[in-house]
Amino acid sequence: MLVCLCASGTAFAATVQVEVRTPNGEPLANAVVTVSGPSSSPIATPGKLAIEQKNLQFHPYVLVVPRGASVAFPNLDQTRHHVYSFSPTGPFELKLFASGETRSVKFDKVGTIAVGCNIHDQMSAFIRVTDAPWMAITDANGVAAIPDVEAGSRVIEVWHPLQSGSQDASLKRNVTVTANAGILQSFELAVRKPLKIHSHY
Amino acid sequence: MKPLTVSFAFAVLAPIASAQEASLGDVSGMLDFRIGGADGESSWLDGDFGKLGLGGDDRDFKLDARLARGVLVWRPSLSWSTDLYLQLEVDPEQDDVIGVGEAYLRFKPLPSGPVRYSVRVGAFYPPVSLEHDGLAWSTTHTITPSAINSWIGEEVKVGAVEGTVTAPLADGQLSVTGALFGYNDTSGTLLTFRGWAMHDHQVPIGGSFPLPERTPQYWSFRKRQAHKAEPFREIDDRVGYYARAEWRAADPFLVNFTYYNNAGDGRSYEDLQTSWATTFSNVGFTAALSDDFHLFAQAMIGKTDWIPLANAPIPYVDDVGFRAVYVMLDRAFGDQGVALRLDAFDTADRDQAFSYNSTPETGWSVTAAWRNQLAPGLLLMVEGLFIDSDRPSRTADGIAARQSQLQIESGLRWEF
Ligand SMILES: [Cu+2]
Repeated sequence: MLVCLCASGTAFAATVQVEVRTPNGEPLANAVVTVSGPSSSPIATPGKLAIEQKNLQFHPYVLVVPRGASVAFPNLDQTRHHVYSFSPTGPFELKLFASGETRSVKFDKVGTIAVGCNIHDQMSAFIRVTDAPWMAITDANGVAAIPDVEAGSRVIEVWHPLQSGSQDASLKRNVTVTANAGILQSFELAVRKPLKIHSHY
Repeated sequence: MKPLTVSFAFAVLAPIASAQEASLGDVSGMLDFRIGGADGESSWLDGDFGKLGLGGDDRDFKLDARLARGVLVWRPSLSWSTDLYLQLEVDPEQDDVIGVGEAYLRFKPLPSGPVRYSVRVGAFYPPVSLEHDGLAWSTTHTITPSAINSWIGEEVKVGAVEGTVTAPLADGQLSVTGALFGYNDTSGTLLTFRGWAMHDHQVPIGGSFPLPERTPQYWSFRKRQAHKAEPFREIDDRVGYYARAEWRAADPFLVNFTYYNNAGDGRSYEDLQTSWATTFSNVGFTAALSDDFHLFAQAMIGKTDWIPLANAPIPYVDDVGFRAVYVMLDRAFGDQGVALRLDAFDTADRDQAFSYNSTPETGWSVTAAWRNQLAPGLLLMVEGLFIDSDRPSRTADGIAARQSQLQIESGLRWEF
């Protein structure tokens, strides 16, 4: 039994909780939080690796995936979508016919992929590809909880698709994770607020 | 462009697209039911000077219930980058109860970088209105559009080739649009003979609207102008143009500018419809004051000229200037929302060539609307609109130059 617990890889780990807010103090959802550093266990990705097209929107708006992962693009609408990205990190084009059609894209480079639909200009999503072993996205309260981060020196990185300034930048902080002692780190990130109004022309 | 022309385009282009690339596309639509009424003078739709879609019964408040608008929109694709937009309209108040609203072919290649291109060919409205952001050029904040966009809806539909380039710029986005057009030579006729109005009737392709029957201009204009305006009409075979730039900033606001010139020669006429030389500039501004609180504003200034006698020397032109502005605040509360809009407008006889002081007017309006999205696709709206205007040509109709009206309307809009 004792051997078993040690081998699970969680005995020397802790939960890293990250809270992201805007300079106004509002919680910031959809921020990508990664924790990097040497890891002995396989990479755990949160949730399923898919971006759905539903009601002429992408769901989720932001996805974080490990390098080399495949992301599925299921079309749940009754209409066609022409999903594409021209980001150098992973350019692709998918012609998705009505309802039910799914195709996948594999992402082999670390970076950001801006995803759009050529038929519906208002559709927008972002994929962040990372080498970090631990990753999560902040919820509506601006909080991301990453369990089972191995003890040691770690770097927490925070990124948001609408962050002010360069899209390639990110907030980084060195922390020490101690076994069985959860930590809470707070970050502040200014974001742009583009108009949600779109024209039909 | 006539429906026949569009069908022809489809028949020619369909074989070019491979069977796999083409798609019958979606059909969507809308039915808009109204109960409402107004006091004061009769509506301009009845050949009077009333500025609203509804009017009084012997000046008393008159209530009626009706289907205000029915729409079917069909968007088949010829390929992944080319689709067709076809909008059929039902408006029981118009001479043409059934008509084609907009019909165009859109080409939008897949972007290979941050710069995007698109081209439209067909019959459509120039992108001027900030209020018509709903399905099939419908308003979403109020039932009745502003004076500026009521006029766009009735007299500024074009048959055009239009190209747009959109590129990211300094954390924001810049769009530049240019178009060459025809079929809008009579634009300005309603503004001259009737003046500004506020209503949601849209001109179908080939449609017409009445002009005030007893306006004194007809004594001098009757050889050139019927008692109706046909806004979607090519008369002088000259090519008009419009150009537009829109800047969407990183901060939540956008600003745009449009210049329109129908290049009308001001002297050609046929079937008692005349080519007016009409130009205008429009500035639009939208800002999100918070996530749920938006400000919209537009200002327009323009002029329209014609040469009353075909052989008259060029300096003898009739020159009507027009201006209008509105500011609207919109606050959303979940599925509900309220909007408050102030409008001001005027027209001026700039060279005083028209007799009987017949084209100038000044006016203003306040509109308040409440909306409730009862269910997806089911929108309830209630609106009160007050309008006050001074137009001396009303005296030819035996009524006082200054008139005001109150219109109260509720609408239930079903989109499918
Ligand atoms: Cu789409």
